Formats: sequence, structure tokens, C-alpha cells
Amino acid sequence: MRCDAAENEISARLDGTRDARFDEPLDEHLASCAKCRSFEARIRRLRESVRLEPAEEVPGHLVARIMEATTKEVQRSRLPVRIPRPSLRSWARPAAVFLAGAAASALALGGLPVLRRGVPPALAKEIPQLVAEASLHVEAYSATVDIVESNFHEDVPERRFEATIVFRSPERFRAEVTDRTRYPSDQWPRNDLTLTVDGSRWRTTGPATCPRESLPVCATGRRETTSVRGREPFDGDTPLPSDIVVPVRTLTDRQRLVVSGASPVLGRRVVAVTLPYRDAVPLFAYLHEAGSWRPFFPLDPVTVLLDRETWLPLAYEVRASGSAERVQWAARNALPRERSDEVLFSTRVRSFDLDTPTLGAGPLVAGTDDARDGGFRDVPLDSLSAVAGYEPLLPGDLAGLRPHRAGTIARGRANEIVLSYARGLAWLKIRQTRSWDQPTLYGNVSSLASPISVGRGLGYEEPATATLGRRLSIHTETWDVFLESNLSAELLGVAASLRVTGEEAPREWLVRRWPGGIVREQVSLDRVKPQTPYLLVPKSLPDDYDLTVHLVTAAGQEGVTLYYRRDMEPDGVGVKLHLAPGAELPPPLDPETFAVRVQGTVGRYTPARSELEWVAEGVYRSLSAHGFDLAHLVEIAESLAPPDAADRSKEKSK
Amino acid sequence: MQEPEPDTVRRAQQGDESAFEELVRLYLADVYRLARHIVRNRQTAEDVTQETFLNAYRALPRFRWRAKFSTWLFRIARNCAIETLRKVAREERFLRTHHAERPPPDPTLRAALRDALGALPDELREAFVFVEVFGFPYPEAAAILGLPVGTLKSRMHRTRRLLVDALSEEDAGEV
Repeated sequence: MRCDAAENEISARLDGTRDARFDEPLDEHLASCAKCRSFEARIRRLRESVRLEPAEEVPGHLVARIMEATTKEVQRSRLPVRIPRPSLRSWARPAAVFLAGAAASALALGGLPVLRRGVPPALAKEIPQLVAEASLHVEAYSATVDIVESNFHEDVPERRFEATIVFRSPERFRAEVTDRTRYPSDQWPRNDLTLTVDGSRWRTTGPATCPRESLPVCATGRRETTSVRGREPFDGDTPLPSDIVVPVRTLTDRQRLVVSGASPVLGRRVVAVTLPYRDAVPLFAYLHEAGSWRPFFPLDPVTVLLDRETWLPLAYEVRASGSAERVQWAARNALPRERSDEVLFSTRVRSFDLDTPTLGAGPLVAGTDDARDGGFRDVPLDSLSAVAGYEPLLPGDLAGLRPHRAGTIARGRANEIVLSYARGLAWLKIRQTRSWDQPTLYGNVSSLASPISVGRGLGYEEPATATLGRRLSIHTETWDVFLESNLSAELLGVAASLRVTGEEAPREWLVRRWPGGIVREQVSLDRVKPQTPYLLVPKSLPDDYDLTVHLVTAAGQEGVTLYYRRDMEPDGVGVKLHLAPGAELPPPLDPETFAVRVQGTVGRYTPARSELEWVAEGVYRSLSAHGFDLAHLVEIAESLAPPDAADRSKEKSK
Repeated sequence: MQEPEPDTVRRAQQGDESAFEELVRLYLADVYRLARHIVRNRQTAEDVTQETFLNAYRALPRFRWRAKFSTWLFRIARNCAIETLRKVAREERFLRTHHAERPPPDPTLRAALRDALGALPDELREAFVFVEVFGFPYPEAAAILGLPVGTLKSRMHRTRRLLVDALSEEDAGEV
């Protein structure tokens, strides 16, 4: 035995970890090696001196300090803090005068005046909470916004728009976008849009869309309208894009925000927050529901200037990120080569008002016979039990929200009741049934929903996405309940106050069969390990990713798919790793692929799918992550290693 | 490492602040001591301790008893401390100050040992702290550190070799 190996074993033996194979050779070595005997004696002395050191006294005030911070945290999530209202009328007029002269030049594509310093780090952490609190107090809002977009088309390098936005809590919203661009000819369709939400009605109008790169020849001159009636409260398919008023959803995750100071906007103090476009999608929702717009790369940085008092987004802009994949992406999307940091899109509030109720009580959407029926029927709360045939479950904790619309869903056999609660821009809805007969979790949750403690029972939770709120499905013998809210922190408290004790979903709900095989959903790493001895997990992902494991059986072989997700994954999936026995790559699913060196072999990168695939040690490996660049994917791939206890602690499934 | 009553954890999970305070009191000294070893600054260690318990409070509803409570909490504490170290390093890089203030001396460790520990790379020092100072068995320390047990074992050997060498030089100097 060599001294180096002997020292390794001596050290482990001191810590109570011994390898029986080495016992005898180690003792023999020690008997004949004075150097190693000395090492053993010295590390024992080292242990004594470390462990005999008196423990340092803990500062006496720490418990009080921690509990104070904890109580503050509880109060923040329970009791809405009132934000002082700005005296808007007093500044709106001078600001309008100032901007009348300055608007044109201020909105040049020169970039927002972001400063490097001036924001205390504590504020950066608190912004999502402050924004969520502010959202509770916005009862009415109207604003005029200037928008500049670059590189829409090689013949139209710049487009300009004016938008008016009007909102009245909880579910009345109207955005009108007027295209002020000078197009080369009348053949070009004007991108004039409207989006109107009025409780159970929802409507968009805009030019009939055709591929941007085929303009203007593909333009028909027609306009398209999409109209819905019987809309469920806060329906994700017919969204109320309220992040343009206060960006609650966009700023939900403090870990991904970069905060800096900025020069005042409209004479008001602002703070600049920068995040990738993929996380800022809700800010663009009111525009992208209709018409034609240029695309952005998922990692293009978006800087938002937030009013320090009201947390309204007074201006924001998108810049080009710089990477080889972005250059390729731009070429695929018929965009010119955009230099890194070039401003691509910019929007700035010209004036706004939080007090004047600009929307009256009358209907915003006129009755249209061709509207699609969403199937929801408003029913007064006290008539619900008579209509549905059962007493609804009512929450004891409303998280400071007020009852809003309630009703039943006319379609299907499940005889569902929907309750909704709102205040300002914040909302929460509860859907429930006593006759759920489908073999899946109830409500708008996918097979990636993961178990979480709710009161004394269990629920299945999914984080918010770019279009949906945080969601929770609860199953009991009698009830199936689904909750969704844009107030992430409140969801579990309200769910617990329903006084149902959620149970584990039946096993058969977690098995999905399709002609090619079977997927067993939400199994544990420990369970898949014996069947998939080739199992590897990424070690380079931050700790806030949760893991869900699916076992896939196809063509007689076991494969495994790992999903790593955190809040606000735009596609709801996050990072996906699939491993299965295989000797070669399957045919590509996209024509554009690149050869890439990964884990000592040559793999395939498909930019359109953000997917890296390779075969190593007889195992096909596929790693995909929406919006991750190649360098990041390779970093994750290179970090793959067998799972250990730390990986098991990331698991949310049982 | 002591473990709390499961009922205390359950009550804290349901938002019972007095139960959470029990957990804070049970682990405060250990979490602070760990932070002190990793960040090597009294004030920063207090901040890390507070942040650890706040993060634990937020994450409690997700604690599912797959690990011991102490392992789970120490993993949070270790992550908070490491994140703080990184932040400090970033700030130092940003300010381009290569004359960062030396941490004040730790009166609880013999000077030579303190210096030798302070000179260790962060990843070796934290392995040493968990195994040697806190006495965590390898599997638990490895879980907290997110390392395979084999890697932890070799890190402990490297750490001890470095410390023994450093302290031998010290002894030689004294002679």
C-alpha cells in the first residue's frame, strides 16, 4: 500500500468510515511506516484541538432579529400593506406638457437611462413582494403609451405605435393600438389592434396575419376578430394582460432580477429591473394577442423601469443578446444581423392616471352571435347550491380578496362550480366538483404537478407560467378542487382554509398509456434506479429547481425523463433530460442541426428545439431547455453524474 | 446532531410561529457557528443565519421528510453561506479592490489553526467544518454539500494533509 492511499484510509477511518478491504493492508502499512503513523497521530491531535475549542457565543439578539424578520414575512403575505397614493392630478398635467415637447426625442431608440448604482440590495430582494402588494390597490388605470419597434421587415426598419390602455378592477380591460408607421405603400397592413375583456366577454381585432417575411404580397387587407362569451373568470386562454398595469407575474421571481438605478421618468423616481425576454413575456401579452410583431430571442435582455411609488412599468425596452445561437436564430427568423446590445423594441408611458374611472358601467363588448361559448354561466353565490345540486366549498381565508364572479360550467358532466375572488389586479379562483370521473388530476394541471403539503393533507402544485397562475389540484374521496391565482404566496393558505384534506392521487392516474408504450409519472429516483442503471442527473443547476421523474417504457426498454422546473417557466417544462438505452441518434426532428462536442463524443444540437442529443456508453441522452443557449446546455451535459442524496432532496414527487 | 420533534416541524409547516421559534432556538448556535466558519466574518455570519432561517421558513411547506430535518436545514445554511461568499467575491471583483479587509481574528481558535483553516480553499474548508467541527457522518455531510461520498472522503484527506503540513511548519517555526 502506498502512503497516499494509506493516508486516505487513515483519514476515513478517523471519521468512522472504513473499508474492510483495506483494514489488513492498512494496519500492515502502519506497522512499517513511521510517516503514516505520524500522520495518524497528527490528525488525531488536530481533531482534539478543533473539538476542544470553546464554542463561540451566539449573539444574544439573533433570535429576536430572526423572529422579527419572520413575522414581517408572515404579515407581508397575509396583510396587504397600503401603498400611499401619488397625487396624480398634481403631476399628470405638467408631465404631459413636458412630454408634449420631449416625447418624440425621448422615445428615440437610444436606450433607457439606466444607472449603475443607487439601489440598495435589500430593495432588489423585496421588489416582487412590493409589486404584489401594489397590485392589490390598483382599482383603475388608464395610460397612453408610445411604442417603437425595429427590424420588423427589411423594407420597414422601424414601426411606431400609440397605445391607450384602460383598466378597471377586477376584469374590465381595453387596449387600443394605433399604428403610426409610414409604410412604403398602402399594400402593407396597418397593425391596428384592440383587445377587450369585460368579465364573461373577451374580444380581439387586428389585421389578418400572414408570414412577416412574405409581406406585403400576402396581405389580404381583411381584419380578423376573435370573440368569446361565457368566459370563465380569469381564464388563461382568454387572458386579461394585466402585467402592463403592474407586472406581478413578470416580477414573481426575485432570483432572476438584476436591479439598478435609473434616471427619473415623467419626473418620477424609478428603479430598473433587467430580465431575459423569456421571463418578461407577460409584459407583451396585450400586444401579441393579435396582429403581426417581430420576434425576440428568449435570452434577449428586457429592462423595465418601474415607478418606485406605484410599481407601474413606466418604460421598458428589449435589446439584442450576443451569442452564436442568436445570430443563427436571427437568420432563421428573417431578421438582419442585430448587434449585441442594440435596442430592438422600446415602450414608454406618455401619461397615466390611477384615479379617474375612465371605463363606465356599460358593456365594453357588444353582443356578438358568432362568439365562441366558453361554457361558463354566472350564478349568484346564494343560488349556486340550487343550480349545482350541492353546497360549494367556501374558503375561510380570502387572503384579503373580495368575492367576484361565481357560477357553473355548462359543458361536460362534472357539474362544476367556479368561485372567484379579486382585489385590484390580484385574483384567485376555485373550481370544484363532486363528480370527477376522469383518470387525471382535476383542473388545469399537467402530469408534472408535484405533491405539496396543504393544511393537514396533500395537493398537487404547478408553478406559474407566462400565461397561467400558480395552480393547485386537490383530490379527496368526495371532492376534486382546483385553485389558481396570480398571488403565489396566498394560494396554499386559501387552499388550507377550504377544510378538505387532500389525499394522494390514485396510482392509476399517474400511468399514461399510448400506442408506443407506457409512462409512469412522478416516480422517485430510488424507484427508477434499479431499472435504469445508466441514470445520470445534472449537478450544475441552481438549488431552486425542483425535480419530477417519469419512467418511460417503450419497445420493451425502460427510459427515464427528468424534469427540472422552477417558478415562471414560460413553457411550463423547464429543463428536460431523457435517457434511454440506444446505440445511435434518432432521425432529427428539425432540418437545422449542428455537430457539437459533448462528454467526449460528437452530439447533435437542434437550436429550434433548444435540444442537445448524444450517445455515450450505450445510452441515448437528450437534454432540452427552452431559451438556454448552447454553452449553457453543454455545461449542464458535462455536469451529469449519478444521483446522490442531494438530488433526492430536490424531488417533489413521492 | 439533534433532531426536532416531528410535531414541532409539522406545526411550523402550518405557519405556527412559536413552533418555528422552537426550531430557531434549537439550531441557532449550530447554524451561526457554521456560517462563521464559512464566511469568516461576524456580521456577515449573522446575516447568513437570519437568511437561512427565513429561507427555511419559506421552504417549510415543501419539506417532505425525505432527509433528516437537520440535514435539510444545514443544506439551506450552507447554500446561503456559499451564495454570500460568491456575492462578496463578485462585489470585490466589481470594485476592483484587491485589498479586501481581512476578517477580524476569531478568538475561539488557536491562532495557527485559525490561519491554516482560513488559508484552505472554500470547498475544503466547508468539508472539514461539516465532518470535523460538527461531526456529521460522511453520507449526511455529502448530502448537505451535494457531493458523492467518495469525493468527500478524498477532500477530507487533502484537507488534513494541508492542515498537518501547515501546522508542522508552524511548530518548526516556533522551535
